[in-house]
Amino acid sequence: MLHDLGLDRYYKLRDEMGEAGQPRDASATTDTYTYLDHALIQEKAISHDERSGHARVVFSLTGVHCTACVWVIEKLPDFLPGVEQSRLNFRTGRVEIDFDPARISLSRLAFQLHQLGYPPRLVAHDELNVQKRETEAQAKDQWMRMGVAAFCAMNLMMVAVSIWEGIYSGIAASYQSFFGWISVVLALPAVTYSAWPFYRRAWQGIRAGVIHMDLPIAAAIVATFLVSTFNAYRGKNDLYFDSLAALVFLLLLGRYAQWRAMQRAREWMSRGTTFLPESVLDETEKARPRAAFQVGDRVKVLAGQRIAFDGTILEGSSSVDLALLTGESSTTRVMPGDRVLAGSLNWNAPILMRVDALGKDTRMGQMEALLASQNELSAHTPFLLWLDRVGRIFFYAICILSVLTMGLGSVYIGWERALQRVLALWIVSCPCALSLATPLALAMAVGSAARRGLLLRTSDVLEHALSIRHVLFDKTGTLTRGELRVVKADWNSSFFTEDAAADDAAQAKTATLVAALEEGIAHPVANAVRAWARQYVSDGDLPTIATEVLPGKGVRSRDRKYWLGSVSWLTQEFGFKSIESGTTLGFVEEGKWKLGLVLQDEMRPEAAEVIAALKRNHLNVGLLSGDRMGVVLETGKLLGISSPLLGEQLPEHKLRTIEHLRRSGAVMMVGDGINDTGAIARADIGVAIVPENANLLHTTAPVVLGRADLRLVPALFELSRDTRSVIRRSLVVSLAYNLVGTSAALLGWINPFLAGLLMPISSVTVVILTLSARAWRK
Amino acid sequence: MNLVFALLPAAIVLGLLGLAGFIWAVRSGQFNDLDTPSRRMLFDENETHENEGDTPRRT
Repeated sequence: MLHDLGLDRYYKLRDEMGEAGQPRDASATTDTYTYLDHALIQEKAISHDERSGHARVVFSLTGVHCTACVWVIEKLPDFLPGVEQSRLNFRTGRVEIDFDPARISLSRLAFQLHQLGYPPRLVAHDELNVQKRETEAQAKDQWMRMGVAAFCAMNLMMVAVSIWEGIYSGIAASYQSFFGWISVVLALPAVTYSAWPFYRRAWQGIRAGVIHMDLPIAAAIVATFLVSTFNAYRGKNDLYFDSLAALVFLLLLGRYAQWRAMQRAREWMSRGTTFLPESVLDETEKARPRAAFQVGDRVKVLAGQRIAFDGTILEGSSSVDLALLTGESSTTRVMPGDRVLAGSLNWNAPILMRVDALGKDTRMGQMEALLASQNELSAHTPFLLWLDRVGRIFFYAICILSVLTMGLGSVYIGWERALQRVLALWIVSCPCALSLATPLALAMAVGSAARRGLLLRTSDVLEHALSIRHVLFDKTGTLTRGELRVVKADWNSSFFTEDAAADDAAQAKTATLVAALEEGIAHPVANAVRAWARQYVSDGDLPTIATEVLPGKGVRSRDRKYWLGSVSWLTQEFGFKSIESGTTLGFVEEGKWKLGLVLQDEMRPEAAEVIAALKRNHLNVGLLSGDRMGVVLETGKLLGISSPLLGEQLPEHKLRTIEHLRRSGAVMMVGDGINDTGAIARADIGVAIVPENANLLHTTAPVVLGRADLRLVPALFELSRDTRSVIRRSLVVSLAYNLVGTSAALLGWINPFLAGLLMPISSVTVVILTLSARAWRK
Repeated sequence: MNLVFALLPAAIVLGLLGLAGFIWAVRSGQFNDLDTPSRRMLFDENETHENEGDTPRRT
């Protein structure tokens, strides 16, 4: 297609740049985007450019990864009549297209983009306005202040050359005074307009009783300006205006670099939460907007498409990729009857599913809501309070040093040179690790955790995790899946030892009968049996059998041909002997035992390795359960848990155990969040591993596992340790810098201008070190 | 040397013109996207016009 359009250059550019392509999404039909022509969508999506009057639409594209992509997309006007302009923002993947709606429709535009290889997603124009405009306004503000400061600095430098020449070879007083006053005027915009943010933040800090990092800077700028003005008035040539303006410019530049870095980090942290497809196929494969679907509707998802709702598969077997929810690419096989989650990608084959939850009620929506309700850094952690104290001590130290320098300096080198050293001191000293890096590191940690499914309500959990000594697990629903499953099917060999093919058919027939007997019964046992039978026969193909249910015993067909129930009941009715122990259910056909099923609440496969990992980190692991002591002891042996290992615990027993343990160290309690709320709240850190069909938001635990994977527990500890190292690294760098910098300032090795150069360098270094830590990418 | 009293302000006024241009550029959003221009720089506009001459445009 690219060749037809004379766009062969795409490949040339792509090869020249040495960038490889990526696999494409599902192919679109001409109908995929027809929903875009709907009036409501048009209203939301199309805005109008103020000057040209053209209609403008913004799409978010996937698959933009190289220069050639930018080239192709911006060439749209050349081969799509009706498109006036197409501008792509490479970093965000958003394209702004100006077009004439009378000549080309929105759907055709989207279709073409898809055909080129960039499936588009519509971005409503009010969604844009809020976030983008704000960020743009902030950036513009910073650019303008920088521009003014740069202009002042450069022109002041021009005047300064004359002044320096005058210092060297003499200058008439009238010219000296002229240059002096021009310098004052030129410096004013830099010192007032450009430096304003520093003054504002320093003042806000004072009002809040906190020593803001900008306070020394603001003080230094004002002091330097006043001193220089005084000198100009006296006709002296000790003028620092040029350095001052340059200093302001450099400081602004440094702050801008940090701000950009933080923007990038924020974007990186929040990507992946809004990837749901805008258009979804209904059961007749007609595309409709996602918002048009209700719970209970049937939806078709083709191979390569992303699933838009939480639901149950009705037809089709495939594999789904949960990368969006877990952070790793791993596929799981799914069959009719299995649940799938919004945000996962359907890999192999088309499936037909029933919508069980939409939007906010999907697991993904719950995770987003949980994260959104997170408090900003709570100021209650001991660590942050300690940082505050350090900041204050720092400031007092600077003040004392300044006074000493002025005092001693005036005696030995004259008050003007002493003042210069003090000014340099104020500018160079920067507790950047404290005020920049630490909050940033904590924010990155929380974001990185969220991406893996580990949802932290507040960031102080990371700090508290470092002091945990005991980790207690509940059993049912935490260490085990919380639901019964058929773990073994014992086929009676006297009926099933013929050749394999006949065996399969016979087994399938039997499974069909078993499932048919359990149909319509809403009981965990029945659910487990039906789930097991799905590998042989699909839900829709079951014959209807008239049954009677005998509570506590089982179910049988009315004609008494087929029986399915507890072993004791069947033995009573039919007199079977030598049934394998451990069998839970038996299936009897015409008086003959055909099949035994063993049902268990399966242990989570990762449980053992998780316990081992925690023990390796010198944590004491315990088990608290309401289950029978026998079962608990067995589980403990299996997993290597020795103490505390307590069974038959009522909620108040659990609370008492936790209280008792807390005396010897902080306790973490891992439970299902629904039945263990008391214990989870009493522990120092409560972790809820919420069952699949429950709502994440219904628990108040500070840590919620967005997916049922126990490995997230050791991951939390690892993340805490990593975060602490990152913060420590920043503190070390900042400390080293400050020691070197303040010494140099006091000894007169650096003047205020050099100080201004060093300070942003150190801040940016610390910020970059924090942002690029490998811990966030694990 | 009295000229200096006039020249210096004149030079500054010229500089101000430059600053005005910068402010206009910032206001009109030219500094909003700093990543894509680095990619656009690699395009070679002349070649594309040649191509357009060869192949008919599709509608």
